[in-house]
Amino acid sequence: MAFLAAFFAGCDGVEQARSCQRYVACIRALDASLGRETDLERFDAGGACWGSEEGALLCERACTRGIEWYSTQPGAPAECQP
Amino acid sequence: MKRAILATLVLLLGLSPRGQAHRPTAVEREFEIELPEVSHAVYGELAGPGDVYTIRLTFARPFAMPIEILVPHRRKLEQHRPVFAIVGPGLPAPTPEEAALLPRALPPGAGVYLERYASEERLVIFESFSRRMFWSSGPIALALAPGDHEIWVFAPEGTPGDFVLGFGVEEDFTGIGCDDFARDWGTYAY
Repeated sequence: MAFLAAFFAGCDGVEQARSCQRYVACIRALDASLGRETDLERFDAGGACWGSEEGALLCERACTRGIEWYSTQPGAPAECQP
Repeated sequence: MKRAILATLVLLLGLSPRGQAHRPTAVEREFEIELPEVSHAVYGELAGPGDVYTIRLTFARPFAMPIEILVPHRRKLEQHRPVFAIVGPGLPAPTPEEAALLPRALPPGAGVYLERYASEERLVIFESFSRRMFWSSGPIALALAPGDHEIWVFAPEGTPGDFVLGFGVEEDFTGIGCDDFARDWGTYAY
């Protein structure tokens, strides 16, 4: 029983990282300027990134570096500034 | 018996809400990813100077995903720092310094994101699927345009050694049987 409890612990997921809130805003602003709509579902609140602590850490780091990179690109919108 | 244990392990890892498992794939030097929207862990081994892996992906729509390159945390690979370049539409032109590092010229109309993996301090992670430690370049979230892309994996210093290219988040193990997984276990778990 303890095994099952441990196995299913964490089913509630993890809260969306602040860095990914900012990353999603950055890419949406970029999309608006380019007239496209990027699939950002995994980074959004309730997305696949937030199904486990390991995945959440991966995405949190990825979003942080993503914003850093997009902020260096010419014409980056204000939402992409760190 | 061993196969039954392995199958159980794979099932538990696949179902566990605590883990983050990429779809494991041992690839040849040139390889096409059929489902680029799901999570992949691409296992390869660079032979030395001039060796390049080419992984092809096609996105039907703009798609954002995390990507990183990993190296098994082993003493003999301490100096092994493979990098990757994503080549495709909508990416910026390389700087002269980046262009000098790339193993080949870009196709017409393509830009590039080059992961330099140059920081002195290397991020160390525990990968729960293979249950091993890796050095990581540090994941980055990139928004890729629709169309054909290539990922080139190479070692600028020409070092030989293993790498794992991890990208995506959504898990999908459709079509990967336990026999396939057991056959390649030596690749995944070193």
